[in-house]
This record gives sequence, C-alpha cells and structure tokens, in this order.
Amino acid sequence: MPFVMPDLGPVMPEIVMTCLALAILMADLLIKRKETVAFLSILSIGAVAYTLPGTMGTTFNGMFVSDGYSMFFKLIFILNVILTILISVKYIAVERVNFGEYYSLILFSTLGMMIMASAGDLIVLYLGLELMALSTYILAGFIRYDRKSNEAAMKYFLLGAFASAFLLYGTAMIYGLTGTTDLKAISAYIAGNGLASSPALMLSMVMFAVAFSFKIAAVPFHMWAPDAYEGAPTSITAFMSVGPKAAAFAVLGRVFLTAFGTVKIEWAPILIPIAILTMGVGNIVALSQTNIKRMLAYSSIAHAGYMLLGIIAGTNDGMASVLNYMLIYAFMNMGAFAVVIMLRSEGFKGDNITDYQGLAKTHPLAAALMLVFMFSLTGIPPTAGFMGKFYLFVSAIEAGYTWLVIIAVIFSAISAYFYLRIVMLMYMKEPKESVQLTTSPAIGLALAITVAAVLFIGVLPSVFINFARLAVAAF
Amino acid sequence: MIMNNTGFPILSTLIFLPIVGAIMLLFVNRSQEGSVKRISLLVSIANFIISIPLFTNFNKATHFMQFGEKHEWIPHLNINYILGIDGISVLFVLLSTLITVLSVLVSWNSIKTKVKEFYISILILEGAMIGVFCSLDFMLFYIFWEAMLIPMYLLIGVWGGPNRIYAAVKFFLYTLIGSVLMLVGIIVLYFTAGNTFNILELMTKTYPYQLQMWLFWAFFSAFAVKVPMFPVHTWLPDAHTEAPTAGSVILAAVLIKMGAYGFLRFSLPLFPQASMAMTPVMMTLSVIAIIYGAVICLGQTDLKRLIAYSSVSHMGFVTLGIFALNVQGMEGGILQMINHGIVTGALFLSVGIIYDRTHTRQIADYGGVASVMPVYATAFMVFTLASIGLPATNGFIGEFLIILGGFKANQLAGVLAATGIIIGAGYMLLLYQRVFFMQTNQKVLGLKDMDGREILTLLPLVVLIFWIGIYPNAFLGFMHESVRHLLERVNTAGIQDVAAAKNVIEILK
Amino acid sequence: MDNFFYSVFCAVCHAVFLGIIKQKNVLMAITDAKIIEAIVNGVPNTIGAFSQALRKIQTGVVQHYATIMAMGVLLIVALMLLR
Repeated sequence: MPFVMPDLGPVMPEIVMTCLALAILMADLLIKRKETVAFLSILSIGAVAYTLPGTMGTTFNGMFVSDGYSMFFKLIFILNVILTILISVKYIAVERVNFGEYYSLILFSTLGMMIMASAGDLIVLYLGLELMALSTYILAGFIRYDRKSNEAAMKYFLLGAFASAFLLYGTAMIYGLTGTTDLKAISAYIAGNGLASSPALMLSMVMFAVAFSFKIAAVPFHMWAPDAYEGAPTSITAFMSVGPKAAAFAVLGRVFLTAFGTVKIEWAPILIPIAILTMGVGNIVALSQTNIKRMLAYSSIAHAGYMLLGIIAGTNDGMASVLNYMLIYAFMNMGAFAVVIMLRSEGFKGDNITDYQGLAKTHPLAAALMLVFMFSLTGIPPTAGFMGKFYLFVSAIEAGYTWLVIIAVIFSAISAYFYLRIVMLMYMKEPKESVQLTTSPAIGLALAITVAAVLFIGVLPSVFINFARLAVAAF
Repeated sequence: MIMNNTGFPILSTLIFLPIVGAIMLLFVNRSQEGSVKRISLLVSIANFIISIPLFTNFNKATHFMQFGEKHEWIPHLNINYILGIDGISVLFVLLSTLITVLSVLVSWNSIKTKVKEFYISILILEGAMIGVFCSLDFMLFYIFWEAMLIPMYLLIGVWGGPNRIYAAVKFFLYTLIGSVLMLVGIIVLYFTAGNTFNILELMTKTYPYQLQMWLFWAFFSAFAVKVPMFPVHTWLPDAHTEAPTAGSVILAAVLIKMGAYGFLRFSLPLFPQASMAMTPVMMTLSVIAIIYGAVICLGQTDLKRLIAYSSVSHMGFVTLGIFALNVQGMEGGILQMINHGIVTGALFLSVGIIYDRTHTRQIADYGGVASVMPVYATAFMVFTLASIGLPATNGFIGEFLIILGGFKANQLAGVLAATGIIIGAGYMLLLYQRVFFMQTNQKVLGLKDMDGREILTLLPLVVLIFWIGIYPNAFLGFMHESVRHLLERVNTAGIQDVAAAKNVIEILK
Repeated sequence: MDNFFYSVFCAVCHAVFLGIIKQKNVLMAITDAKIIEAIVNGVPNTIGAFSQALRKIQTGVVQHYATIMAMGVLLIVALMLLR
C-alpha cells in the first residue's frame, strides 16, 4: 500500500502545541526564572490559538476531525490553560514547587484534551484521553512533600486506570460488533444492520458511559474527585475541574451523539439515573463540607449533573447548551479558585470555610469577587451561571424532559445554601484573625477576566450562545 | 399596543439610573460616608422626580401599555427587552421610587458599618424592583425578580438584628424555591405558546385547561411565597423583624406587592379558566390569612413582629379582592396594595425612628411615649387609623371596596373579612395604647421628639394617606381601563379578544 | 339603672370576647406556628442529616471506591439487560 501523506492542515494546532510544549520543557533547563517559563507558555498557547482558525476538515482517514465542535472545545481548553497559568505563577512559588515542568505538563495535558475533542476514532480518543490523564495525574501530585497531594495523585491514577479499562473493554466490544473503531462508520453499521437492540451494543454503551462518567465525576464514579480535588495543588484543582471535564463532555457528545446517535432510546435510560444521582449527591453532600476545595469538588460534581441534562436532551440545542455551559463554567470556576488561591499564604493553608469569616471587612474586593462567583455558581441572575443553566433547561424541556428539569431546579435551589454560606461568612461575621492575601498582577488579570466574563455573559449571553449553536450545527 | 408618550426612555432610566448610581458609589472611598449618603439621596430623589411624569402624563382612557420600549436581546430564544406600564403597574413604580427615597432618609444615622455597601444594595434593589413592574417579557421579568434576592439577602443578613442570618437564609431559600418552579413554568409556557416570551403575545392565546392548572400552580408557588399567603408566610415575620429599618420598609412596602402583582399580571390573564376554578381555594386561603394574621397580632410582644403579621393580614385582604374577580374587588385590591405600601411602610419607618433611640423592639419596654414625643405620637396615630381603615384615610377606601367585591363573590368570605377588620382595629388600638398611653416607661423618659429629617421622611406618607382617603379617584382613575380589560379577559377566557389582540401584535412588531 | 345594666353588659362582653380571643390567640400562635415551622425547619434539617450520612460513604480508602464503581457498573448492566 503506497504511503499517502495525510493532510496536516487540520492537525496543525496540535503539532504546534507538541513542538512548543517540548520546547518549553527544554527551555526550562536553561531559564532560571520560572515566571519567564510561564510567560513563554502563555505565548505558545497564543501561537496555538493563532493557528486554530481555518483548520477545518478531517484527516488521517477520518480519525482526526476538526470542525466547529472541536474548535469550540479547543477554545475552552486554551482559555483554561491561560487562566491556570495566570493563577499558578505566584501560587507554586508559595507552595515551593516552582518547577518549569509544571508548565510543560499543563501544555501536554491540554494537548491530550485537544486530541480528544478532535477524535473521530475510538483509538485516537483513547490516545488523547491517556495523554491528558497521565499528565494530570502527575500534576495532581506535584507538591511532592505533601502527603495529601501524593494521595490525591495515587487515587486519581488508580481509579483512572480502572476507568480506562472500561473504556478499552467497550471499544473492544464495539470493534467486535461492527468491525471498525471509526465513529461515523460505527453509526452507519448500527443503522444499516439493525443492531439497535443488541445486548452487546447495550453493554458497550454502558462501558463507555461508565468510563466517561468517571472523567466527569458523575455518581457513582465520582469518589476520586473530592479527595483528588482536595489534595492537589489548588491551581491544578482549578485546571482539573474545567479541562478534563470539558474534554470528557466533548467525547461524550461525539460518541453518544455520533456513533450511537441512532440508538438514543437505548442509552438515555443509562444517563438519566446517573444525572439525577449526580445532581443529588453533588449538591447534598456539599452541604456538610468544611473544606472549601472539597465543597467546590462536590459542586463540580453537581454541575456535571446539570450538563448531563443537555446530553440527555440529545438535540442540537441540547449539545449547544452543554458547550455554552462549559464555557461559562470555566470562567466562574476559575474565578472562584483564583480567590481560594489568594488566601494561601506562607504557613497558612486557607482551605477551611471558616477562614473566609469576615473577609468583607479585611479584603472587601476579594470578598465582592467571591460573592459574584458564588451567586453565579448558584445560578442567580444577572450572572452567567443563570444564563447557562437557563439554556440547559430550555433545551431539556424542549426535548420533553420537563420532570427532569423540575428535579434539577430543586437541587439547584438546595445548592444555594452552601454557596450562600460562603457569602454569609464573608459578609455577616466578624473576622477571627487577619488573613493575608497573596496577590500578584497575574492573578489580578485572571480575576479581572473571569469576573468581567461572568457579568458580561449574564447580561449579554447571545454572543456565546450563537457561537455554540454554530459549533454544533454540523453535527 | 405600546405607546411611547415622551420619546424619552423613561422606564429604562428609572431602572438603570439607580444601578448606575450604585456603580458610581463603588468608586467612592469607603471612609467618605457623608458623600455616599448624599450621592444615594440625590440619585433616589432624581429617580423619584423622573417618575412623576408617569403620574401626570398617563393616559387613563386606555388599557394599552404606555411608555413602552422594545429592543432585541437574545434573538434565537426570542427574548427581548420590552418595557411598558399600564393602569395596574404605574402606581407601583411610583411607590417604589418614593419608598426608596424614604428608606435612604431613614437610614441616615442608623447604619454605621459598611455604609457604602448598604446604599449600593438599596440602589440596586430599587432598579430591580422597578424592572419587575415594567417588564413585558417573561425572561426579563424573571431576571429582575431573582436579581432582587441578592441585595435583599445582604440587607437582612449584614445590617439586621440578632437573628439576622437565619432570617436572611430563610427568606432567600423560600423565595428561591418558589421562583425556580416558576422558571420551569415559564419555559413550558414558552414552548406551548409557539416560542415567545412576550407577555402581550402570550396573553392573546388560549391554553388547554390541564396545562393551565399545572402552570397556575407553578406560578402560584412563586407568587404565594412573595405575597405571602398562608401557609407559606412564615418567612415574613423573621425577615421583617430582623431586617434593618430600610430593609423592612422596602420589603413590606414594595417586595410583597410583587406577589399579588404577579397574580394580576400573569396568573389571571394567562390562565383564566384555571384562575376561575381556583377562586374558592384562593379566597379560603385569603380569609384564613386575614383572620390568622390578625389573631396572632393580638398576642405579639415584639413591635416589628406585630406589624409583620398585620402585613400578612392586610395582604389577605388584597388577594381576597383580586380573586373576587369583579371590578370593586380588583380595584380595591390594587388600591389596597398601594395603601398597605404607604401605611405599613410608614409604620415600619416610625418603628425605625423610635428604635434608633431606644434600641428595643419589645412593647413591654414602651409606654407613655405620647407625653415624651407628641409629634411622633400624632403621626403614629394617623398611621394606626389608616391601618384600621378609618374613613377619610386610604385604608377605608381599599378595605371597603374589597369587602364589597368579596361579598359579591362569596357572602361568607365577605363577612369573615369584615370580622378581620374588627380584630385589626383591636390589635392596632391595643398597640397604640400600650406604647403611647399608660404609664411612662423608664426607658422612654427624656427621648427627643422627631427632628426635621424624620418629619420629612413621614410627611409624604401622611399626605398620601389623606389624599387617597379623601379623593381616591385620583388614584383609582388609573386602574379603571386596565382592570376592565383584565376582567373581560378572565371572564370570557379571552376568546373574543384574540382578533383585536392579533392586530395589536402587528403594531408591536 | 340603665347605666348599671350597660356596664354589666360591657363587662360580660369584654370578659367573653377577650377571653375567647386570648385563648384562640395562644392556641393559634402555638399550634400553627409550630406545625408550619416544623415543616419549614424540618425539611432542611432532614436534608442536612441526609448530607451528613452520605458523606460517610467517602471513606478515603481507594479499594472501597473501586468496589463502589464496580458495583455501579454491575447494577447498570443488570438493569439494562433485564429491561
């Protein structure tokens, strides 16, 4: 078989990313000031973003797909990386793990996410997933001298490997069933050969659902999340709560709406109980948390539950609402974690909820920012969180799942309690001790971007909603 | 139809001027408390003055929406920025702007910590309140409705009394649960009515009965909590007693009215058959609220809590009037909402004035205040009489119309409501006697009477009480057309109106 | 004479009505406030208790997590195949 050079156009961003990530890894050996490495990383991300537009198309025989959908997700990933680097610069110095590999690992992880978003084939999907996951495992355990960080990384790694096994098992079953691992071909085969009610197909769909549910931390596959989020360095917690989750939703959408698109009636009953449980457990257990990172972990779980509603809807609007919510979620979660990071100073962990007591008196600006993010996470207008949830509910009701939305709004109302608890502690109680904030221009920039986005999207959401709808139009 | 009378976007200004004012306050240095207060006073008075043209230039001969504005907002979901007021909402906008001015005045000396945040909250709250009354697009309405929760939560929780955190969280969660159920109802309505959130368009359609019932109850959950109707009224006593004076005043005078306004503006015209079928239930709950609220007042020992429960009772009158579904009842209900806003606002302002001096809310700590503060006692007497419904005060007109309407609809309800008035007289006069007459208490000896600022705060309300009481048509005149149109819609289930309304929609577009 | 009857009548009325009102009032204030408040405070307390119970499932032992994951998978597979 003659070798045909695949069209490298669509895959250019990933190639650029790989080269630059390796370059950063090398540069780290030579550069003493790690802030420079951070800056270079941001520049390289900028370069990748620059190569993004105009790379539409499929390549490698349909294994790599670059369309509006993957482009939207890649933008979320790029945003995620930029914000993470901005909030990490001072933070990893405070944590005394100021190593340059941190930045290249983040870039590699993002590379994995980008490959996942563009995957047109199950093996490529697995490739991206593992690249992302392995880099993230290391990042979770980055604070080498802290037992909690090591524990977080171990737990994430062990359970992640377990989940990957399910993914491979599902892939193997599909291959055995259809003879191909290409998503479009699978869909054609299922439709053409009337495999709709085959138990083997059902089993493989369950396997995929399990593997992806692990990544998005859906119940009952969420148990790694609270421990991993709590132990990992806070900037990586922020990174993990947005990036891998977004990538997992990207592949969830692709696999379930492309490959299994014709058999929606089969997989919806799998996802619906998972969604209900996820929203329920996430919101209810968050009520009794005393560590803010753990509370935000459970809140992350709950938000994944809301996003599952959009996937269950199964319509283009449903998928668009998931994309939209993911973007909004990136902003508000990053913002919240940025404030959490600011409380970490030399010798003071600032992890406990009680550390926020009286923050409004000592640091009113930080308290006000946290207030905006907390209300956005609850979903109160006029913040972006409300707009995201609203669009999700609209698409779910349009698809006929009104009862599911009623359950979602009730859990959403319950969630108000623990988000408000932070606001209450900040504004309505006296400070126990004076907290020092570690600020830096980088984190100030990150906070400015996130709060501006949250308030802007809350008032004028059209821009992003239209963008999301365009992205899904090709589906 | 939307008529823009002056070419100047009055309603948008009314909504966004306070918000701009709040943003301006963000940049004022925290320590310059005087400037903060002066700026907020200026902004609220400016807003009040801008709202006066709504009173003078209102066309009372039509039920169409006036001072309208329309802009596109989220085109693909057909959500638009549409504002407009009619006979039902115009008086509420005026009430909101007036009450905000008075709230700023009364908090001048009583708020000592986080002054800047306090006034920012009040201004944002004002913008959101007016937004609720002016919105003609469901999502816009919902956004303003929910946006009120944040500043109110902060007002109660940060500057309130000893049990403020419990009261604030209770208020927030109670209202939130009702509101999110309403959100689901709104979205379902959107899809049923052919993808529109435009309230005027939604009113031209008829909906299947079963759906009407579900949606009526979804909306009921939000509005009944706000009113508050029995049995979801328990957030009110806590919120009112623990809130700072300005918070209580705004809560009692304006926020509560939104629940009843919601029934009038949405539940009745959109779900006419369901509303008519549910009238017995609503009237029963109203009568229970009237009597229950009044009876509980008899045993209260906390000044603010007593007035809070009297609010429950008075709002029971309002919902009775509205669901009587006749002209007298409805006009009485709307007027009584304004009256209650004025009178209860005045009562809370008065309590705030004396609380600034004695720092106690227990009635047992008072007695013989009339001999120490005669001017104050006179004003309070006026408010007491207005609350009871003495002829020549506004309370009489409202209550009379409501009982007339209620009696027409259901004789038993009318009779029971009338007994509610008697009990109302009982507790208010008992309160007055215990606080102002009788032996002068130790704690009130040597108190200064009201100063200029405080008299200024109460004066407009006294004037309004007698104005509405002696010449009510000045205010009732606003409502005639809109109420007539609403009743037509409800009683005929709007079938005849569809053709006319379709023309209206063409003009709208 | 009239005065006498009148004052007796007044006194009787006062005693009767105020008595009724005070009784009713205490009754209503206690029972209704208690019943409604019991629900209003009871529901959140139940949710809170539920929360405390549920958080104990998070034991911290990885093997437990893996077991729960496996049980979840088996449950879902069983439910799907038996439908």
